[in-house]
Amino acid sequence: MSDEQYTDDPTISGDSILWRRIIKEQIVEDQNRGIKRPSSAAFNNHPNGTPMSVALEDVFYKETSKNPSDYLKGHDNVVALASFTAGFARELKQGITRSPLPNEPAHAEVFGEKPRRIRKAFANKSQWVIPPP
Amino acid sequence: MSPAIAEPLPEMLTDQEMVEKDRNTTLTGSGTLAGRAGGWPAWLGNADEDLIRLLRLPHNWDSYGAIQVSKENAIAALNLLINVVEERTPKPAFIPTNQGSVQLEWHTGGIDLEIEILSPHRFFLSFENSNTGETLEKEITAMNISPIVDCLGTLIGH
Repeated sequence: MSDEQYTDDPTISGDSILWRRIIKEQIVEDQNRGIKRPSSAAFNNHPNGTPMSVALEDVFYKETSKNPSDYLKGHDNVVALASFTAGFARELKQGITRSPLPNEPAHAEVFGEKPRRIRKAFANKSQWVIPPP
Repeated sequence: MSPAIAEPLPEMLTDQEMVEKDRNTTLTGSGTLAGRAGGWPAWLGNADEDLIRLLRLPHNWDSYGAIQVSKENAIAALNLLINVVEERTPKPAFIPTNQGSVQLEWHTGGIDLEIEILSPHRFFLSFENSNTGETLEKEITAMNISPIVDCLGTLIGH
Protein backbone atom coordinates (compact mmCIF):
# COMPACT_ATOMS: atom_id res chain seq x y z
CA MET A 1 0.00 0.00 0.00
CA SER A 2 1.28 3.48 -0.78
CA ASP A 3 1.64 6.20 1.81
CA GLU A 4 -0.21 8.47 -0.59
CA GLN A 5 -3.49 7.16 0.74
CA TYR A 6 -2.62 8.30 4.26
CA THR A 7 -3.00 11.87 5.45
CA ASP A 8 -1.37 13.32 8.49
CA ASP A 9 -4.05 14.33 10.97
CA PRO A 10 -3.56 17.88 12.20
CA THR A 11 -5.94 17.26 15.09
CA ILE A 12 -3.23 15.05 16.58
CA SER A 13 -1.06 17.66 18.25
CA GLY A 14 2.69 17.48 18.33
CA ASP A 15 2.53 16.89 22.06
CA SER A 16 0.29 13.85 21.63
CA ILE A 17 1.89 10.76 23.05
CA LEU A 18 1.93 7.58 20.99
CA TRP A 19 2.38 4.14 22.52
CA ARG A 20 4.12 1.11 21.07
CA ARG A 21 4.09 -2.35 22.69
CA ILE A 22 7.53 -3.93 23.10
CA ILE A 23 8.27 -7.62 23.57
CA LYS A 24 11.13 -8.85 25.74
CA GLU A 25 13.05 -10.20 22.76
CA GLN A 26 13.27 -6.71 21.27
CA ILE A 27 14.77 -5.02 24.30
CA VAL A 28 18.50 -4.37 24.34
CA GLU A 29 20.96 -3.54 27.08
CA ASP A 30 22.50 -0.29 25.89
CA GLN A 31 25.72 -0.21 27.89
CA ASN A 32 26.70 3.07 26.26
CA ARG A 33 23.77 4.78 27.93
CA GLY A 34 23.36 2.45 30.90
CA ILE A 35 19.74 1.69 30.06
CA LYS A 36 17.46 -0.94 28.64
CA ARG A 37 15.72 0.34 25.56
CA PRO A 38 13.83 -1.00 22.56
CA SER A 39 15.80 -2.27 19.60
CA SER A 40 15.51 -0.40 16.33
CA ALA A 41 13.81 -3.54 15.08
CA ALA A 42 10.76 -2.69 17.21
CA PHE A 43 9.87 0.35 15.11
CA ASN A 44 9.12 -0.81 11.61
CA ASN A 45 6.09 -0.82 9.34
CA HIS A 46 3.93 -3.92 9.22
CA PRO A 47 5.43 -6.80 7.22
CA ASN A 48 2.67 -6.34 4.64
CA GLY A 49 3.76 -2.74 4.05
CA THR A 50 1.04 -0.98 6.00
CA PRO A 51 2.08 1.64 8.56
CA MET A 52 3.41 1.10 12.04
CA SER A 53 0.63 0.65 14.59
CA VAL A 54 0.52 2.75 17.73
CA ALA A 55 -2.04 3.87 20.27
CA LEU A 56 -2.97 7.44 21.06
CA GLU A 57 -2.56 7.90 24.80
CA ASP A 58 -5.23 10.58 25.15
CA VAL A 59 -7.79 8.50 23.27
CA PHE A 60 -6.89 5.43 25.31
CA TYR A 61 -7.59 7.21 28.56
CA LYS A 62 -10.71 8.91 27.24
CA GLU A 63 -12.31 5.88 25.63
CA THR A 64 -11.33 3.09 27.99
CA SER A 65 -10.75 4.51 31.47
CA LYS A 66 -8.12 1.81 31.83
CA ASN A 67 -4.49 1.76 32.91
CA PRO A 68 -1.55 1.48 30.52
CA SER A 69 -0.93 -2.04 31.79
CA ASP A 70 -4.32 -3.00 30.41
CA TYR A 71 -3.02 -2.12 26.96
CA LEU A 72 -0.52 -4.98 27.25
CA LYS A 73 -3.01 -7.60 28.36
CA GLY A 74 -3.78 -10.41 25.95
CA HIS A 75 -0.45 -10.10 24.16
CA ASP A 76 1.99 -12.84 25.06
CA ASN A 77 5.65 -11.83 25.23
CA VAL A 78 4.77 -8.13 25.48
CA VAL A 79 6.44 -6.85 28.62
CA ALA A 80 6.85 -3.12 28.14
CA LEU A 81 5.30 -0.03 26.63
CA ALA A 82 7.35 2.61 24.84
CA SER A 83 6.24 6.07 23.82
CA PHE A 84 7.20 8.98 21.66
CA THR A 85 5.44 12.15 20.66
CA ALA A 86 3.63 12.83 17.44
CA GLY A 87 5.89 15.83 16.97
CA PHE A 88 8.98 13.64 17.12
CA ALA A 89 7.51 11.29 14.56
CA ARG A 90 6.82 14.22 12.26
CA GLU A 91 10.41 15.39 12.66
CA LEU A 92 11.33 12.02 11.18
CA LYS A 93 9.11 12.75 8.17
CA GLN A 94 6.36 10.47 9.42
CA GLY A 95 2.63 11.16 9.47
CA ILE A 96 0.04 10.05 11.98
CA THR A 97 -3.51 9.05 11.19
CA ARG A 98 -6.27 7.83 13.41
CA SER A 99 -7.50 4.32 12.61
CA PRO A 100 -9.71 3.11 15.45
CA LEU A 101 -10.49 -0.57 15.63
CA PRO A 102 -13.56 -2.20 17.22
CA ASN A 103 -11.51 -3.48 20.11
CA GLU A 104 -8.94 -0.72 20.11
CA PRO A 105 -10.43 2.76 19.80
CA ALA A 106 -7.05 4.42 20.39
CA HIS A 107 -5.40 2.68 17.45
CA ALA A 108 -3.49 4.92 15.08
CA GLU A 109 -0.86 4.48 12.41
CA VAL A 110 2.49 6.13 11.86
CA PHE A 111 3.05 6.12 8.13
CA GLY A 112 6.17 6.86 6.14
CA GLU A 113 9.28 5.06 5.04
CA LYS A 114 11.29 3.71 7.92
CA PRO A 115 14.87 3.20 6.86
CA ARG A 116 17.33 2.15 9.50
CA ARG A 117 18.16 5.67 10.67
CA ILE A 118 14.46 6.33 11.33
CA ARG A 119 14.04 3.10 13.27
CA LYS A 120 17.17 3.85 15.29
CA ALA A 121 15.91 7.33 16.07
CA PHE A 122 12.66 5.92 17.45
CA ALA A 123 14.62 3.36 19.45
CA ASN A 124 16.98 5.92 20.94
CA LYS A 125 14.44 8.61 21.74
CA SER A 126 11.44 6.60 22.92
CA GLN A 127 10.51 6.76 26.58
CA TRP A 128 9.14 3.98 28.74
CA VAL A 129 5.52 4.20 29.85
CA ILE A 130 5.88 0.73 31.31
CA PRO A 131 9.55 -0.21 31.59
CA PRO A 132 10.67 -3.81 31.11
CA PRO A 133 10.94 -5.90 34.27
CA MET B 1 31.17 -27.51 13.18
CA SER B 2 33.05 -25.79 15.90
CA PRO B 3 33.48 -27.95 19.01
CA ALA B 4 32.37 -24.91 20.99
CA ILE B 5 28.79 -25.40 19.77
CA ALA B 6 27.23 -28.28 21.67
CA GLU B 7 24.17 -28.90 19.54
CA PRO B 8 23.97 -27.47 16.02
CA LEU B 9 20.68 -26.16 14.68
CA PRO B 10 18.72 -28.61 12.53
CA GLU B 11 20.21 -28.86 9.04
CA MET B 12 23.10 -26.63 10.10
CA LEU B 13 25.67 -26.51 7.43
CA THR B 14 29.30 -26.80 8.32
CA ASP B 15 31.63 -24.39 6.66
CA GLN B 16 32.59 -27.07 4.14
CA GLU B 17 28.97 -28.01 3.42
CA MET B 18 28.06 -24.40 2.78
CA VAL B 19 30.96 -24.05 0.38
CA GLU B 20 29.81 -27.12 -1.53
CA LYS B 21 26.23 -25.91 -1.58
CA ASP B 22 26.98 -22.48 -2.98
CA ARG B 23 30.45 -22.13 -4.43
CA ASN B 24 29.84 -18.56 -5.52
CA THR B 25 28.95 -17.13 -2.14
CA THR B 26 31.45 -18.60 0.28
CA LEU B 27 31.90 -16.49 3.37
CA THR B 28 35.33 -14.98 3.45
CA GLY B 29 37.01 -12.90 6.03
CA SER B 30 38.70 -14.57 8.92
CA GLY B 31 39.15 -17.90 7.21
CA THR B 32 37.71 -21.35 7.54
CA LEU B 33 37.07 -23.05 10.82
CA ALA B 34 40.12 -25.18 10.38
CA GLY B 35 42.33 -22.26 9.49
CA ARG B 36 41.27 -19.55 11.97
CA ALA B 37 43.63 -18.42 14.63
CA GLY B 38 42.65 -17.86 18.23
CA GLY B 39 39.89 -19.32 20.37
CA TRP B 40 36.15 -18.97 20.43
CA PRO B 41 34.13 -16.78 22.77
CA ALA B 42 32.44 -18.83 25.46
CA TRP B 43 28.96 -17.54 24.58
CA LEU B 44 29.17 -18.97 21.06
CA GLY B 45 28.58 -22.44 22.46
CA ASN B 46 25.06 -21.39 23.45
CA ALA B 47 24.29 -19.13 20.50
CA ASP B 48 22.20 -21.85 18.91
CA GLU B 49 19.94 -21.80 21.97
CA ASP B 50 19.48 -18.05 21.60
CA LEU B 51 18.47 -18.51 17.98
CA ILE B 52 16.20 -21.47 18.66
CA ARG B 53 14.39 -19.28 21.18
CA LEU B 54 13.69 -16.83 18.35
CA LEU B 55 12.60 -19.61 16.02
CA ARG B 56 10.00 -20.64 18.57
CA LEU B 57 8.29 -17.25 18.49
CA PRO B 58 4.81 -17.72 17.01
CA HIS B 59 3.19 -15.77 14.22
CA ASN B 60 2.30 -12.27 15.39
CA TRP B 61 4.89 -12.54 18.15
CA ASP B 62 5.12 -8.76 18.51
CA SER B 63 1.33 -8.26 18.63
CA TYR B 64 1.63 -6.25 15.39
CA GLY B 65 1.62 -9.04 12.79
CA ALA B 66 5.28 -10.03 12.89
CA ILE B 67 6.38 -12.90 10.67
CA GLN B 68 8.03 -15.87 12.32
CA VAL B 69 11.82 -15.90 12.17
CA SER B 70 12.93 -18.15 9.34
CA LYS B 71 15.26 -21.06 9.90
CA GLU B 72 17.41 -19.93 6.98
CA ASN B 73 18.00 -16.52 8.52
CA ALA B 74 18.71 -17.97 11.94
CA ILE B 75 21.28 -20.32 10.45
CA ALA B 76 22.77 -17.43 8.49
CA ALA B 77 23.17 -15.45 11.70
CA LEU B 78 25.00 -18.31 13.39
CA ASN B 79 27.21 -18.99 10.39
CA LEU B 80 28.08 -15.32 10.16
CA LEU B 81 29.06 -15.20 13.82
CA ILE B 82 31.23 -18.29 13.44
CA ASN B 83 33.08 -16.54 10.65
CA VAL B 84 33.59 -13.13 12.25
CA VAL B 85 33.91 -13.43 16.02
CA GLU B 86 37.08 -13.74 18.05
CA GLU B 87 37.62 -14.98 21.55
CA ARG B 88 37.19 -11.47 22.96
CA THR B 89 34.09 -10.58 20.96
CA PRO B 90 31.29 -9.77 23.40
CA LYS B 91 28.00 -11.55 23.05
CA PRO B 92 25.52 -9.76 20.79
CA ALA B 93 21.86 -9.29 21.45
CA PHE B 94 19.86 -11.63 19.21
CA ILE B 95 16.89 -9.57 18.09
CA PRO B 96 14.03 -10.85 15.91
CA THR B 97 12.71 -8.57 13.20
CA ASN B 98 9.10 -8.41 12.13
CA GLN B 99 10.21 -9.36 8.62
CA GLY B 100 11.21 -12.83 9.81
CA SER B 101 14.89 -12.23 10.26
CA VAL B 102 17.50 -11.71 12.94
CA GLN B 103 19.43 -8.61 13.95
CA LEU B 104 22.67 -8.87 15.91
CA GLU B 105 23.39 -5.88 18.12
CA TRP B 106 26.24 -4.62 20.26
CA HIS B 107 26.00 -1.37 22.26
CA THR B 108 29.16 -1.00 24.28
CA GLY B 109 32.38 0.94 24.53
CA GLY B 110 30.84 3.92 22.79
CA ILE B 111 30.01 1.80 19.78
CA ASP B 112 26.62 0.91 18.35
CA LEU B 113 26.88 -1.98 15.94
CA GLU B 114 23.90 -3.65 14.31
CA ILE B 115 23.97 -6.37 11.70
CA GLU B 116 20.70 -7.36 10.12
CA ILE B 117 20.45 -10.65 8.27
CA LEU B 118 18.68 -9.67 5.05
CA SER B 119 19.03 -13.13 3.55
CA PRO B 120 21.40 -16.05 4.02
CA HIS B 121 24.03 -14.27 1.95
CA ARG B 122 23.22 -10.56 2.49
CA PHE B 123 23.62 -8.52 5.62
CA PHE B 124 23.15 -4.89 6.51
CA LEU B 125 25.84 -3.32 8.65
CA SER B 126 25.20 -0.24 10.77
CA PHE B 127 28.13 1.09 12.79
CA GLU B 128 28.48 4.22 14.92
CA ASN B 129 31.54 5.01 17.01
CA SER B 130 30.83 7.89 19.37
CA ASN B 131 34.51 7.93 20.37
CA THR B 132 35.63 8.95 16.89
CA GLY B 133 32.45 10.08 15.15
CA GLU B 134 32.88 7.34 12.57
CA THR B 135 29.70 5.96 11.06
CA LEU B 136 29.11 3.30 8.45
CA GLU B 137 25.96 1.91 6.88
CA LYS B 138 26.46 -0.65 4.19
CA GLU B 139 24.94 -3.73 2.68
CA ILE B 140 27.40 -6.61 2.93
CA THR B 141 27.40 -9.80 0.93
CA ALA B 142 28.83 -13.11 1.95
CA MET B 143 31.50 -12.62 -0.71
CA ASN B 144 33.20 -10.03 1.46
CA ILE B 145 32.45 -9.76 5.15
CA SER B 146 35.67 -7.89 5.99
CA PRO B 147 33.77 -4.67 6.89
CA ILE B 148 31.98 -6.65 9.59
CA VAL B 149 35.27 -8.11 10.80
CA ASP B 150 36.78 -4.63 10.89
CA CYS B 151 33.88 -3.16 12.87
CA LEU B 152 34.01 -5.99 15.39
CA GLY B 153 37.74 -5.48 15.65
CA THR B 154 37.11 -1.86 16.57
CA LEU B 155 34.51 -2.98 19.07
CA ILE B 156 36.99 -5.17 20.92
CA GLY B 157 39.71 -2.58 20.72
CA HIS B 158 42.07 -3.67 18.03
